[in-house]
Amino acid sequence: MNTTPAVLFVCTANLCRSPIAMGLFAQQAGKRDQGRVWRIESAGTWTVEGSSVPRNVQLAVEERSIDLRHHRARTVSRALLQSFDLVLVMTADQREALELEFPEVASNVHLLSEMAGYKYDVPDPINGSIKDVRMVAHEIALLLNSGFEWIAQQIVNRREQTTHLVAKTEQVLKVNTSQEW
Amino acid sequence: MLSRSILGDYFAMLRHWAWLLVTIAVIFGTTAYVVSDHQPRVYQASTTILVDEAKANADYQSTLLDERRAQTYAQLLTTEQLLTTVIQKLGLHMTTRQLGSMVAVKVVRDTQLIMLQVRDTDPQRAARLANTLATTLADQTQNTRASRFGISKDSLQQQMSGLDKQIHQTEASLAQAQTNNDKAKQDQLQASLTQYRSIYANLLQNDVQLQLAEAQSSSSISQADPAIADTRPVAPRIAYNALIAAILGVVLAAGSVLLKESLDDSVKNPEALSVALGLPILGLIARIDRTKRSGLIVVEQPRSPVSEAFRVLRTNFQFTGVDRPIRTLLVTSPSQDEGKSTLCANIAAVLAQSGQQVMLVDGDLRRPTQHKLFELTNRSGLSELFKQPLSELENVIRRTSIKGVSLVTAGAIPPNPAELIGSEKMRGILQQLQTQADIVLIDTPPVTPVTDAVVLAQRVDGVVLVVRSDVTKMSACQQAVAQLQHVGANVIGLVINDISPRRARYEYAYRGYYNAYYGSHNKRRLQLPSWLSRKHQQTGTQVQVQPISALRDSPLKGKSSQHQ
Repeated sequence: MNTTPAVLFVCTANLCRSPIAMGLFAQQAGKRDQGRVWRIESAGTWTVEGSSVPRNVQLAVEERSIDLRHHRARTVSRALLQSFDLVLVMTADQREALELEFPEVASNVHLLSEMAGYKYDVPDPINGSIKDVRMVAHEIALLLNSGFEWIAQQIVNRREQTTHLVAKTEQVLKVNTSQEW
Repeated sequence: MLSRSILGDYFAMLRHWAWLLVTIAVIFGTTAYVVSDHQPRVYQASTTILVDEAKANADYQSTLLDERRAQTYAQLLTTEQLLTTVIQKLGLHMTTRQLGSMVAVKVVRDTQLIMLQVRDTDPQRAARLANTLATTLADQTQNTRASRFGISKDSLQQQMSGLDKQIHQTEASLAQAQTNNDKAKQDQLQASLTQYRSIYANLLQNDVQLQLAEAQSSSSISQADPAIADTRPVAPRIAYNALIAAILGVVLAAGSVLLKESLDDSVKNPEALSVALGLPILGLIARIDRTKRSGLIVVEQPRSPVSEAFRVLRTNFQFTGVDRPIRTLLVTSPSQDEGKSTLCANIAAVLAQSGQQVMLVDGDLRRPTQHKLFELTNRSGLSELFKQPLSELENVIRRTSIKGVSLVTAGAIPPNPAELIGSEKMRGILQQLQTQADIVLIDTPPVTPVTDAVVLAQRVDGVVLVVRSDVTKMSACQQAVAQLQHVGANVIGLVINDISPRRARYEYAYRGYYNAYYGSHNKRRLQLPSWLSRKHQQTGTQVQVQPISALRDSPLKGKSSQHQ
């Protein structure tokens, strides 16, 4: 089993909030979790595949030493969602949509704000000025800063649960087979 | 939020119709281009003619006179006689009228120059015509002069020869008189002879002067600048014509659009409608692509912007029921074909998705559709209940494929729907249904053609009015709201349905999605077909986190983001 912790950030168009969260989380992980390699990616619920990040967003994240020039938007898919330990969405709407369409990954999908102990939507600054983007980036940074430990913990728990479940299943199977014999 | 100027509205309107303006401009421009291109090419040859009275004393007065003379010659250039001469000289097959229409003559202001322009489909012939016209004019003028001088010279010659004869006679008579020694006759003849000789001297002087004048007048018309065949056509001006036609097309189309929009009473601006009716807008639902869809969009495509809009509608709807929870909700529209039934089914589904038990009732006993949307039969339904006891209700409630949504179909179409809907039985049915669900949602016929919805509206907690963008008339909306409010119905708000993507992009940037994701920054992007673009595009960015030490050495920027 792959030991790399994997987090997927999801917003609508995969052009602003989720790429920002991806960049910021990578910085957090680099600072706090030295030595461990994380898999951090982003996707959107409804994107124009291959779109690039608007200029406003690029400028705002450059101030935080994040480079999104090569980022291209992509849409979530079942296979993609299944390959992550944790899927963090920006709004309750997005969570609802993902849960409805991909019920099998529903338990992995959480609101980003929940990671920091809140429950609210991160607003979409896509139409706004660079100021709006900065404010959202700041907000995401705060959420990730206070939520980092929780995110890491969630992944560990999930792994343990899975391992536990696998072990239990194997045990049950073993018992069953031994009984048959 | 949206106080827009009238000018802004016009701009939005023109942007909305930009495709039409561009199409018309292209059609007009192309037509003008093709038509012009098929016109015969016309070439122009021009020559300059100098009108000059070669006089010794060229003072200002005479120069003025020359200018006037130039005008005269300019007129002469287009006389029948001259044109006929030119046609004969060049052996052409055309009438003088035809040639005249090809020739343009203009006196250059404040000079003695005449500008002669000839337009023809053959550049060589144009030049030949211009040159021949100029030389013919010069020749004719010369001839006129010469003939006039000729008459003067002839009469002078006659006078001189007559005088010469007389002198000879007088000299002979004088010689005879000398031999006869007739002194008196001799004196008389001598005096005559002197007189004759002085007259002759005068005539001789006149002759010299005449010859001088003739010599001076010979160069009065000359070609200053011979015409050369120019192979570049002067007409038709293809690009110019196309441009003018295109501009004309845009102006005409813009005018028509403004006229059409000003005459059009349909709902175009939801905010204006909201203000006019004094009702809030609960939802803005974009046009659903009917070709791809099977089933309800909120179920089939929960991630789509339309589904998102339905969830926004749900949220807004929940806000309106803060004080008085809405347990029975009626969905209707001002007129027919406004998409109310599909919308109603989607609302039912989206409410169920939030965990509510929804009872959907097809109250349209005239044109029932809910059973089709949920792919169920319409054998037994609401209309049957009017003939049976209420206890039969359980048997007509149908489970649907959507979790949390139960459906009561319309049943067989009765002859008196309005009467049934308004009956006491209906009140009982509604009360009974409320006990089985968190919310009862009722689809009804439109308000303005029939009374069913208005009758039922009095018995429900809330009414939602569905208005179809660009189709429903403002007047119909106002009438519907007036009718509903007249009976005391609680109209909680409007849902604008079927908003075209173009309008959504330009006008209803309510949630920002259309404008942001499909408008502004992707507008100029060429969308490659998916099979083509998949090869080239890198989707998604994967970030591998480096240890902090590595991060310190090289900042994250540009280094640690790798592409799949």
